[in-house]
Amino acid sequence: MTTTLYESSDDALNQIGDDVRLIVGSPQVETVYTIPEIEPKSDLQGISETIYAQIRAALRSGKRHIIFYGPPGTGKTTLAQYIAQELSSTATYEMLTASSSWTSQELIGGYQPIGDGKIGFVPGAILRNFDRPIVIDELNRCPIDKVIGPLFSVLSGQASTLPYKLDIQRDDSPFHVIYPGSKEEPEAHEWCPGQEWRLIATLNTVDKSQLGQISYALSRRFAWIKIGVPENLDQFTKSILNREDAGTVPNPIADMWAAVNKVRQIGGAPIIDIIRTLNEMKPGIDLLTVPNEEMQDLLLAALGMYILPLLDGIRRFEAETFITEISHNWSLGAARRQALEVEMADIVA
Amino acid sequence: MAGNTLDVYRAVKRKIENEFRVRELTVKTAGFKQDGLAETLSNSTGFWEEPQRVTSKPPRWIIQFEKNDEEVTANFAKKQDGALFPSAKTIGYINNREGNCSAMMFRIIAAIKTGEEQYEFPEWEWVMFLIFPRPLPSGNSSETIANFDPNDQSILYQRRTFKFSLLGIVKTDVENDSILLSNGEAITYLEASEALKKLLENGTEVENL
Repeated sequence: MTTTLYESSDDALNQIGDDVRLIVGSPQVETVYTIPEIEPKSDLQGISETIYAQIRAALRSGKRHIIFYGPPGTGKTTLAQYIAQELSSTATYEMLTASSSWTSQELIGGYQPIGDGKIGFVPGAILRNFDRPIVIDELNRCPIDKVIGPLFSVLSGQASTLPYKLDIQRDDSPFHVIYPGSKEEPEAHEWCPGQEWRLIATLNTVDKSQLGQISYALSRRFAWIKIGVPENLDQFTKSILNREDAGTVPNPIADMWAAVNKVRQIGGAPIIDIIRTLNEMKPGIDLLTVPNEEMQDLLLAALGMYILPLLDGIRRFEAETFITEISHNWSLGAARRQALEVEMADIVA
Repeated sequence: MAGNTLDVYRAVKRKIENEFRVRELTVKTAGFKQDGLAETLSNSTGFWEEPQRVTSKPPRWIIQFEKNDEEVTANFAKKQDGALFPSAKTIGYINNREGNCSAMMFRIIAAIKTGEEQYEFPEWEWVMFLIFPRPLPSGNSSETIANFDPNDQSILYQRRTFKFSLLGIVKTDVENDSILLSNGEAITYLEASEALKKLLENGTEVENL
């Protein structure tokens, strides 16, 4: 068995597991869950090694739950999914997208009709997936304390009794209880998280409408890791263009991105969209040059498609500053500057 | 190099980690952070354009393949005069600060000899892993894994020889699975995979050098 050639099929992967087990031995009866090494995700650009170091440190120091927060388009959701997958021994996790209409019923559970005219306790998404990581995307969109409130005690290491009976018809029926850790032979009304259960949430800091609802008590149950915009916009843009070696050349997209960030920070995703769209509009376009009139029109079109919607609600003086900067960076003439002013008038608060 | 190497890598790593977790062992890897190569490959030597730049941290292990008399052979990278490149048997590097590394994973790429002093680097890759019976001693942030010895089934780490218990070569999906040689013959990924196994299993070509 010393040297073995494997296919990359599921059967072969299982064989690898069997072969490795033969060498390291059968698992011990008392298993110890260890945090796997989190390596940078190769196809997720703009996430620095510092962020991965923070994730590793948080996990190793015992933090179970993480919130990735930051401006839109920075890769928070992709990163959360990646981390969830890496932390799951079966690569499975539950993906939830938060909604303003959520109540604790969706996440924790509650009484619902169960057929034949009866009602009973139906577990919510968290209890149904208590054995694996759960990603909650856009956590800011739901009333956070209200929805996750019943988990406060559990997140603090205490059991929490829910106001729902196992059998609503019986007076002596036990109430459902959520435990913070494993329990030997749990009964039907007892819910115990598996070792791999954890909450990994993303939180968009532009949409602040719900952020005030996160209490201090809940905040400190999570490791908060900021996913900001890339440090070097010029380098990031060139890497997307596969022109890292371009040296010091005009970079109108990075210039625009810097101007946008002064008003409202955005991540790399819309910038990647802009580059891809411009390449579709004009295949072979050189985006590292001073824009001529044709390129100015293409840039303005892409700006309207991907950036201006993200600036909705900015103040008039911010819009004016932005227009002045873009006009200067892209060498816009009076007519194009005026067209941009008209377009931005719609998004000014 | 494209293909699904990173997907295969993640799946294999997860399988090994599943077996390792209960024993608090870890898998160390190199070369999987990105698909692109910063270092240039040489089509005339079938090795790195500047071998001295990758000696301590080779991002890939380059194996040369050729076909003679309808038989495909895999070789550790050698120069035109038949001598091995100095780092031909350096398979990668690891960071084992914690001292709990019992497995390592690297990427193997193919240099196909298509003619005299003429090599092609197709998008062929294999994910290679080594499993050790005990964790390797802790080391520095980046230590090379050198002197791969197929006959002894061992590698050199921290100037000491360590025997491995399992060497796995995992195939990946390749788009073009056949490379045409200048003499009209062709080498397929399947043939190369078998030749690679033969080389890493018993080092036939090493003995012949």
